[in-house]
Amino acid sequence: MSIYDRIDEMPDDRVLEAVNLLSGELLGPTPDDEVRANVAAAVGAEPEVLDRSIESSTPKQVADLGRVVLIAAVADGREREVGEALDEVGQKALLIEIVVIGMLALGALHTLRTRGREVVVREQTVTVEPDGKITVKTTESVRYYSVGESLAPFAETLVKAALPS
Amino acid sequence: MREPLPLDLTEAEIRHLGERGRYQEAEATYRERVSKLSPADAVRAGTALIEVREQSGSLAAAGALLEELRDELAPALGGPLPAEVEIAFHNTAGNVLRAVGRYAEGLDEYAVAERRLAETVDPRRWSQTLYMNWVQGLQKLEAHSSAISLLTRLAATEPPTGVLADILASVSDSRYELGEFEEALAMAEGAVGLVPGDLPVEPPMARQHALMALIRVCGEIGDERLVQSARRLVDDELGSGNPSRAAWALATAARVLRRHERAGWRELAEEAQANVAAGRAAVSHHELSGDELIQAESRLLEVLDDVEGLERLLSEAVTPSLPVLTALIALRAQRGELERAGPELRTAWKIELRRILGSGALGIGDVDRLRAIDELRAWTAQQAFAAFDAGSAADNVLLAAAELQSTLMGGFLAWPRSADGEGEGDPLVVLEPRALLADVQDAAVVFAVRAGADVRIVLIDGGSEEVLLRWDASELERTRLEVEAVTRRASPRGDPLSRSARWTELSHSLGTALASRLETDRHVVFVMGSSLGGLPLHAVAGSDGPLCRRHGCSYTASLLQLAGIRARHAQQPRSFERGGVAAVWRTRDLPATRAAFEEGGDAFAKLLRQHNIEVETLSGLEATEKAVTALLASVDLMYVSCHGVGASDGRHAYLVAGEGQLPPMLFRSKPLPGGPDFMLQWDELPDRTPPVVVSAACSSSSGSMSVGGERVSLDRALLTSGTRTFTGPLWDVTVESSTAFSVDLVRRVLTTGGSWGACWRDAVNELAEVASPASWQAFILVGDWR
Repeated sequence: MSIYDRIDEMPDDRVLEAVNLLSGELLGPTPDDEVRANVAAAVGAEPEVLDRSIESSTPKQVADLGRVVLIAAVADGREREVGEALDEVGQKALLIEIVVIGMLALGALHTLRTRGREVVVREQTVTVEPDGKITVKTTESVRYYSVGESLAPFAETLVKAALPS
Repeated sequence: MREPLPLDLTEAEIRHLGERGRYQEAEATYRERVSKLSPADAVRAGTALIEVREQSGSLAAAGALLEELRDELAPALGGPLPAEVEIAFHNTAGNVLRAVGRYAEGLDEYAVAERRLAETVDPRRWSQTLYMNWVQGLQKLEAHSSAISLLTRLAATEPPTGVLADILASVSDSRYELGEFEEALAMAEGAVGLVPGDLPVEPPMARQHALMALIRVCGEIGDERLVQSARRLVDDELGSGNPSRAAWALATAARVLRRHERAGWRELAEEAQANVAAGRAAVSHHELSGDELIQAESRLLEVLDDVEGLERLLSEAVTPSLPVLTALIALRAQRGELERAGPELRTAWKIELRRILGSGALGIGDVDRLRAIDELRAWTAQQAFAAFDAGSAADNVLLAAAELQSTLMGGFLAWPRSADGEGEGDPLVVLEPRALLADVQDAAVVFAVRAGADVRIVLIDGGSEEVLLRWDASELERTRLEVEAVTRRASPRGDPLSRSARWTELSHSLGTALASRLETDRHVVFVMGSSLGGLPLHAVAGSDGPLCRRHGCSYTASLLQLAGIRARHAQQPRSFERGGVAAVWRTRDLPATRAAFEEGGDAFAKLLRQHNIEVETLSGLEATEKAVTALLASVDLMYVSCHGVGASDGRHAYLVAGEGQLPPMLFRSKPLPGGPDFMLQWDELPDRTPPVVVSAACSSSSGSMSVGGERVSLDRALLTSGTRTFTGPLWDVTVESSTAFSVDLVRRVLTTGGSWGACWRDAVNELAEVASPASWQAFILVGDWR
């Protein structure tokens, strides 16, 4: 099974847990509040607006954002780290809070966008619609996600920068 | 009661007599008529009489009258009275109780009134009056968050302008007490904007209240707009004959101008001085109370830099006054003479500790009462640094300052309590570090004290204090945030702490300093205080590995807490007769995860039974909040194995089953209304908890700091409710490691009879052989290690 299929087939809660684990790699020791402030500055929004956007999204939409983050990390040459994160979900007895992990997902995208890719696998293209529909084309298939209207403006800024369009 | 009169004017007569100061006649009228009145009219008349006495300023008389009339009117109050009559009585009773300092009882009266509120003919009028009184009661109890919440609801009822100004001013007061000055300023500005000087305002005090709120917060943040506000207040107050308050406003304005080296402060101070003189005359003629005058005069003397004047004021007072003391300490601080302020600081703390801890109304939910004493805490630490640097290491001055920065209320609540719940500890024991140290002679104590940007990490091992490290306060806070970030996102197989360079630096510095000073096997107690919470200090790197390799380690919120726990448990047996196990998984946890929870619970129960301990187990759906709470209250050793919540927003909870539902996989910060939240939060734990709680739940040893500097956590709640020893992970760990550690620790204690501290050390080191640092570094022991 390809890593993309694993990401798509994983339930929403485990995708979010994988994003939490992957953010440990991508964000290092940056505290949550700083991640939030960095993302807000990058998308030109107040941090509170970001909070509300995530809060008003459904768990499914935040999980789809998480799937896009995992794919963006694979595109960044981090297939091994993504694979390890997928392997390790379910082991820790943590509480998966949608808003916290939604923010980490945006923070991870922001990091992927800004750090510059050392190993870029240019096998995807991405489009983001105003209603939050995201289409990722790989060499194998076309994948569709929906992060909803609330997250669409931020996703457009961050996803398109993190994945080739 | 006899035949009721068709139209009764007793209430009106009592009020009429009261307005003319004819209180005895008012009371005689009531007593003569009451037996002839209908129940409703009797309550109306009694309410009027109590109100008249309260408004006359005879609070003691009002309090005594309330007690007497409440008994007399009890049959009527229990019957079918019109809602408005009953609300009026309980509202008045609440006001009287609040006025005489029985704040919690006052709130109970307001609560009775509120229950009838929905039935009144004019609920809006009543809700405003009642809730404003309620807010004042909450503010007296320093429950500012609750007051703000109530006021926010009240503001949405579209009250008249004056009432809304009063509400906004009250919100400003509460925000101020919470240290949220920007919000306080916005609210005060809003309040003042609603009450322009050229229009009548109802209630009349709303304008003064709004202006005083604005002056207070402007004075705090150095905003010169307060001069204009002070002028308006002075005009108002002089019009209403209160020169003391006018003097306070002028002196506050003068203080700000002087601090910012602006012209005009001297003229304001002179004007304040004239008003102080007028205030003195009014007080001597019993026209005004002396409290406001002392506040104004002490502020004025502070502006005038008059230390001698403040010393004189202090010496003249029958009882020491906090405003005078704080003004004097502030002046000494400005002059760089804090080392001379020791006696004044001690007296100020005695007043505050008796007020806060000795009020008898302290509860587990009280976490923000101490917000207003930040300045006192800072001065105390500065004074302690000065005294220590001058050679007072043997006097434990740093420990005293650290304890006063720690979890004071949680520490005090850990002391024994009488049958009626009153604390039996002496609130002033916190000022006696030697008394607190007497009980920890068998351990080395590590704590931190902060003054400004300077944090000193201190060791006491055998008497004198030794500063191990000096650290930058913001760097230490940043380190704590980094530790929280790397551990929460960590791979269960990883070494998360190594990802924080700040932690690594602190770990090496502290580990090296401790390793060279501690005897082998010496137990180490880390006092979390206000600076060291959330840091896995047992894992600091010494010369031959982590500290816990050779030393048992435990944590406490404060030595006050530890001494309280030990005082409470001194006479209790150490053996266990009845154990409890709660194991809860989520609805779609992986099969292996669910099995780990179940098998862990079974293994723990089996271990207890092997040692002849009777065990009750709650598994999965059985472990509802109600069932777990009941089990906690009925056993003496409890094992909790479930998912845990440790959030920096103050949520610390066990994830338990709802009725017929296991916890879901995903959570929102704000649960949908009406449904179960599946959380057994720290403030929902029972009043009686087992002597030992072994927690395998993720992050169940995590804590956060309230705005009042109080540790908020599961361990604080448990240790104030009967638990002496608590163990659990600081962050999220694997279920397998958590189970293995918990079972191994308790097996060692039951088998060897060793101390919890020594068994914890051995269990952690055993786990470190087979598990990743992400797991073994997380487990800590809180409370009594013996």
